[in-house]
Amino acid sequence: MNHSKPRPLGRNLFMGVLVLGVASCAAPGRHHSRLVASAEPMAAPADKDGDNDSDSVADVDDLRKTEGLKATQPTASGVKRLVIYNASLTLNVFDQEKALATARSLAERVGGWMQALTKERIVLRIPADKLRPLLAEIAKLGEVLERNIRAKDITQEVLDLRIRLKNAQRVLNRLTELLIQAKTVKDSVLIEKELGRVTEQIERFKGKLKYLLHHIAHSTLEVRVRLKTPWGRRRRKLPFHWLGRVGLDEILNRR
Amino acid sequence: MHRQQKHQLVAISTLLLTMGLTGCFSVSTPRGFVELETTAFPYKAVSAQGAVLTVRRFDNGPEAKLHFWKQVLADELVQQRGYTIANESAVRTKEGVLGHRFRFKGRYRGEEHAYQLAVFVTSSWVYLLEATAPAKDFSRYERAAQLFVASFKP
Repeated sequence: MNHSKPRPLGRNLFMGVLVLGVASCAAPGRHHSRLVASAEPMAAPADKDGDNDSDSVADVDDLRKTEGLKATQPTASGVKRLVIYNASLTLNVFDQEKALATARSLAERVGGWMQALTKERIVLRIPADKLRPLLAEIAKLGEVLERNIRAKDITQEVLDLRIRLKNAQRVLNRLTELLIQAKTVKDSVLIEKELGRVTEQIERFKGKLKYLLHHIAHSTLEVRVRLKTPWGRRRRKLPFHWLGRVGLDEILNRR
Repeated sequence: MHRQQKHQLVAISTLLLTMGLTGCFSVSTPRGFVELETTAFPYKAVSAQGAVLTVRRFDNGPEAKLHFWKQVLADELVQQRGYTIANESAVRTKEGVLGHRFRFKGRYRGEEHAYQLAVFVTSSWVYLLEATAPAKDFSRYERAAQLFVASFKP
């Protein structure tokens, strides 16, 4: 009798873990949240109605504060629009090194930093709200050959992650409670294994969320510079061939 | 006017005309510079530290005035090559020939250079008198560059 007692608890635990595990992995959504809540008789009342997003909202808000996220556009439904902006600029310049150094210094002046640098290209990360003014400043360094701004709306992706994170945290809490109630080593091992999996999942969600919010808060600006030479791209061409021979190169090179 | 004087006048006129058409000119080499024998330039002189003076001439065709050529040269060097104009002014030689002088800043092999360009125009030729040295050293050649331009006789 004694040895058979833990079995129902083990089965319950197993079923509970299974249901919670599935819940944490399934596609998010309000309907699904309700389903999970109804399948969790021991869930906290606040979670039962599935409307309380305070935990995950707090997490996102914390991340937003950490990332200094400011600019979001509310949609018609009142949800703040979350957009990642990336831009690229191709310039024709006389001095590539100088143009790249100036672009870097302009970015650093507004709180940005350099992510990559080659002889003809620099990748800058800059606060999102400074992207457009900085783009205009850098464009003055040469003749603009190409200018692109790309916007990627990730509102839905972030909402999905928030819900997944919230569900995973619920599962984690539930598993912790079950672990306290576990009567056998087998149950404990089973629950701990599941706890590890859910914890890893939570870290993954948080990491992804942090990554996305960081990219919303900081735009990427790629600046390419091409060398403008007298034999290169000209705005206009005059029919005086000797003009190409005027200048320092000719008098300092030719003997 | 005597016949001999007439002959002299004709001879001088012919000589001057020939000089004008062939683009002959004269210029004094300032102290501290030596004239190089070169086929690449009608005139080239260098200082011991590598400052350079040159005179070049190009066909004034289609015939245009000084105002036109100074605009062409400024556009070429500033808009097309990335030089910047430090200053510019009208300039006269000792003989009173009017020209225009630019002082540009430009880069050569990564080093900033001062580049003085004086332009004089005759009906047949556009003369360019150039002087350059690294920007940090140019002040010591300032006077030589002025004398060089002033001594020019197209």
